[in-house]
Amino acid sequence: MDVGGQVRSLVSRRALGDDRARTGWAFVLPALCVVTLLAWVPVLLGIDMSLRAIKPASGIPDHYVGLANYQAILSNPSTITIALRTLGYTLVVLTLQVVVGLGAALVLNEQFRGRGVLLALAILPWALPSVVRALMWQRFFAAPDGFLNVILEQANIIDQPHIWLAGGLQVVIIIGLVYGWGAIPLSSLIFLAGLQGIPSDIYEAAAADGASRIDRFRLLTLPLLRPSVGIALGAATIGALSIFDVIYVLNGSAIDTRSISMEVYLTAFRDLDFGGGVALAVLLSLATATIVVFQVFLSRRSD
Amino acid sequence: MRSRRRRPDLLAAAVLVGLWSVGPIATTLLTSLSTPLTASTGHSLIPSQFSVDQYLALFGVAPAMVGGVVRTEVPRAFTSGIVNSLILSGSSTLLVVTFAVTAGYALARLRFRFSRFILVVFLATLPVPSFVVVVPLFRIMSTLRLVDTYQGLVALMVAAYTPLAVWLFYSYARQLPVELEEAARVDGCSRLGAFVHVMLPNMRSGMAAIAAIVMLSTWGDFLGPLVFSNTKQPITVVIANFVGQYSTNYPLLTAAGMVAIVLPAVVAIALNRHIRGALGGWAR
Repeated sequence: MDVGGQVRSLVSRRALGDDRARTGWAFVLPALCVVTLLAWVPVLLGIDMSLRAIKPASGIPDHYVGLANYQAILSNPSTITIALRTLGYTLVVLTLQVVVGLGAALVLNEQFRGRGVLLALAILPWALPSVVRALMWQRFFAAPDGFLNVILEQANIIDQPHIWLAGGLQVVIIIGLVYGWGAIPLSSLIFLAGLQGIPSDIYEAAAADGASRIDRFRLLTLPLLRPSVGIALGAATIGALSIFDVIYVLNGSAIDTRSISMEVYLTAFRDLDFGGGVALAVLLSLATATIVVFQVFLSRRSD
Repeated sequence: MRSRRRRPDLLAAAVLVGLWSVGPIATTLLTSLSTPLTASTGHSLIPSQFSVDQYLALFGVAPAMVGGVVRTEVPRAFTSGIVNSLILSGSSTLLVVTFAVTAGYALARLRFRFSRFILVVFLATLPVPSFVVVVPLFRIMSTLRLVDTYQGLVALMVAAYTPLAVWLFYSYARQLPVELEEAARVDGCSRLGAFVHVMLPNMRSGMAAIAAIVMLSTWGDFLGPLVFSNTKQPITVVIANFVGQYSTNYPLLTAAGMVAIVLPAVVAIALNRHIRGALGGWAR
C-alpha cells in the first residue's frame, strides 16, 4: 500500500472515529445468536442427553447413567460392522472424488468449444435433492427389470436378473457410487479452481526442459494441487461419514446397508432411545472431526 | 493457446463427463414419460409409447393409478409438498443469506477483536453431523410445540446452513479489493454507509452464489424434515414416502422426481458462474 493511502486511512479514522468494532459486532451478532441457540446449545444438550437414559416409551423418568450409553455402543458387536460399512461408503466416495472428480476437472480445465455448457451441466448432479438422486439410480439398479439388468441380459452377460441392492460389498459400492455421483461436482469445482491457480509458465518451462505430459502431471500438477485435494476430500468426508438419505431411499433401514447415521435414526426415533441415539451421534462427530483434522494436516504439511 | 481442433481424446473425455452428469437425469425423464405398463414390462431404455399422464396425475388433472386403484391422495400430497418446499426453502434462504452476508462481511473486512474466534465458532460446527443437533433440537421443539410447524422447520434449516454460508461469504468477501471501502470512507461514508452504498452493490455475485447454494441445500434437505414434519412435509419427504408406497409405478415416481428438480436445475444452471466463483474463492 502506498503512503498516501495510509495517510488517508489514518485521517479518515481520526475524523470518523473507529466504529470498526461496533459495526463488526452489530453485523455478526444475529448470525452468532442463531448459531449459538440453534447449533451450540443443542450440541451441549446432546452431550448431556448422551449421559442419560431417555426412553419416553418406557415410562421411567430420565436419569443420569454416566457413560453407560457409550459402553453399550462400544460393546455391541454390530457397532464395528456398521462403523466399517460407513468407512466403506466413505472410501468408495473418496475414490470416486479423486478419480472421476479430478478427471472431470482436468477435462474442464482445457479450452474447447462447448466448455461453458459442460461446466453448467457438470454442476447439475450436486444441485439435485439427494432423495431424487437416489430415485434416479434406483431405476438403474432395480431388479428384475432395471436398466443394468436389462442391458446385461440383452448382452448375454447374465441369464437371470441380478439383485444388485442386496447384501455384501456390491451394495456398499453401489450406494457409495450413488452418493458420490452427487458429491463429485463439488470436488471437481474445487480441483478446477486449484488447477486454474497454477501459473501456466511453469508448465512451459517444464516442457522446454523435456518433461513429458505424465511427468508434468505427476511432478507439477499433483503436488501443487494438494491444498485443493485436502479441502475437496475433507468436505466429501464430512458428508460421506454421515450418509443417510441415499440409503433411506434405496434400501430403507435394511440391516445390511445401515450406516452410523441410519443407526442413530433408528435408535432415537424408532426405538425411542434418545440417550443411546445421541451417544452414537456424538461418537460419529468425534470420529469425523479427527479424520478431517488429520486430512487437513496432511494436505497442509509441506515437504 | 493451442489449437482447438484435432483433439479427439479431449472431445471423447468431454462427452463422457457430459454423459456421466446428465445420463441418469435423461433416463429418468424417459421413464417418467412412459406408461406404467411399458416401464415394468418393456426391456428397453426408450419407451415404445410416450405419455405425460403421470405428470397430469401428480397435479390432479388425470387419475393417479397405482396397482389398478385410483389414489386421490397422490396429487394432494405432491402439490402440498411442492408448496411446503417453496415456503421452507424460500424463507430459510432469505434468512441465511442475510445472516451470512452481514457476518461474513464483518469477519472478513472489519477484523475487530475476537473476530478470528467468532469465525472458529462458526467453522467448528461444520464437522458435526446433523443428528447431534437434530435429536436434542427435536426434544426442545417438542416442548415448545414447534415440531411440524413452518417456524420450527425454518429454524432447523437456518441452523444447518448458516455456518457454511458464513464461511463461504467470508472467503468471498476477503478477496474483494480494499480500495472499495477506503474510497467510500474518504468520501465521508460511515462503515454502515460504505457497506450499504458501496459494498452491497459490489458483492452481488457472491450474494447470488450464497443464495443459490443455500436454496439448493434447503430444497434438498431431507433428514431434518423427515423427523420434524408430518403435515408440513417438503417435497423430498413426500417423494421418499412415494418410493415406499408406490414402488410399482415407476413412471409416477420418476415424474415426481423430475418436477422436484426443475427449480434446482434452473437455479444451478442460471447461476453456475457465480456458484463456481464463490466455491473457487472458498477453496483457496
